[in-house]
Amino acid sequence: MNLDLNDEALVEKFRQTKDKTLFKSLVRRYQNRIYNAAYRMLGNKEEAEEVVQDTFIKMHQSLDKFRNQASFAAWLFRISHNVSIDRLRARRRKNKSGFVLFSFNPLSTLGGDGDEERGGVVQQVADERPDPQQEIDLSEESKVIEQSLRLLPENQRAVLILHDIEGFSYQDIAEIIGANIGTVRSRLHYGRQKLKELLMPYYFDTKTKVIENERT
Amino acid sequence: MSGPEKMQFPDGEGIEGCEQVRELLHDFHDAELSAWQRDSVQSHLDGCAACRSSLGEIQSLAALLRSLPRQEMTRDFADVLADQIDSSGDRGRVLPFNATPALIGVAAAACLLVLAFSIPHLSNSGSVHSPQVAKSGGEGQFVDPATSEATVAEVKQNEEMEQSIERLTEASPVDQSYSTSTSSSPPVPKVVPEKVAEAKKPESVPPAVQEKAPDMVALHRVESAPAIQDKEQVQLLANEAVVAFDGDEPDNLFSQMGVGTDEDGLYAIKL
Repeated sequence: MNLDLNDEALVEKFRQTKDKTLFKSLVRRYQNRIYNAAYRMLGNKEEAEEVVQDTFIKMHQSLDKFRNQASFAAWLFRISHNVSIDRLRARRRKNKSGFVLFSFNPLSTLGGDGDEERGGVVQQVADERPDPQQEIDLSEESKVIEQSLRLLPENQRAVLILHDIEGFSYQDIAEIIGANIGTVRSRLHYGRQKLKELLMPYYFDTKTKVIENERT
Repeated sequence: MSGPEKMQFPDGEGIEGCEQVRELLHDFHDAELSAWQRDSVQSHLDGCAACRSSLGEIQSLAALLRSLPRQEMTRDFADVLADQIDSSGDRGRVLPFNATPALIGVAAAACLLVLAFSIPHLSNSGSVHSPQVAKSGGEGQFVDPATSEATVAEVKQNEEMEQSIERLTEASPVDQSYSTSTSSSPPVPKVVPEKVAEAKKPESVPPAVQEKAPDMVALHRVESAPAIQDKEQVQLLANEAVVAFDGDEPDNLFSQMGVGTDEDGLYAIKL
């Protein structure tokens, strides 16, 4: 049974046999994880589905290049991450001459690495806003967290999603985003601090609740 | 054991004080410390309420992110993707689902090319609403539409057609030239192909024409306002060197695409 095989064994067997069912097993193992991560990055369900499709098509095209240096999951998420980043860049290019919404967030005082905004930021948020139609079913708390997450710079957001939501290790994330572990650590720390600032008005109420929930 | 923070606190060296411990709290929370570092941080935490509080904040944030509902796909892509890969051959290129807009774009490009070649012949018969054409890299300046064809050869061909129509109908040629995009004065005839600058020479331009218009840019005129209905087509237009549009804007679409308009209500994409 395919279910008994780990990812790497499944990949190896598929490379040898080209059995479609093995490919389907790989897709079914990861399509929802990739979709979830892509949705958190892009904030759009249709685009997240397209990321899933593109990811598996690229996976199939480059499966021969997978050499087990990284885990298969990290290798696959690297493809998915790159597809998502490409889409974000394409969005930025498309909207460069379009409308730009500015938000001033006086709470934000933290910078990060690279070219992220610093201080009281004026940031482009037009593309990061969730589709109102897609938020109807979310609880208020989830909405606040989602919106705050989307206000993070995309490189910090990516690391937070990969670590705190998808559960990858620093080493795996370094391979996924193509950076060293120090960069991963830095982005994770700055991202968490910035997220904490954004959630400050809600944070202390929920903090107690969350910790209590964890203890019970 | 890489990374700046761990380099500061190698195993065997004392981790003392809240400042040092707090630098390691994220790694501690994420189980990325060595056993020795973890024990050192833990022993500090046991006696420091302030650092425990800081760790609690990190735990809370991570828990909040984990609490987000996991999004799941509404359909299973496994079968569809496997079929696509199967039909495209073992190592052949697989056509992505989202290539559909690209295909639409290619089809629309073909239509535009047909329009670019065919409309000049039709429009010379008396259209009042000849569109103005924005020139690529020209700061939004509109140029003479009479010169805005894909090649100089086309211009020449159009002139010949215009002359033949004149001869047949004995009507004065329809004015299709405006001096600038924002001019409110009546259109002024202006046929100066050699002044269309900033362009590559079309390869197929005859030498005689090249002398007249050495810097002719490849421009396209689009007059099929009703045909522009969706975003893909506008995106396609944005890929063209020059686009002009004369007609009613479909549902604010052009504004969303970053397309400007002049005082006369004519739309143009400047690239």
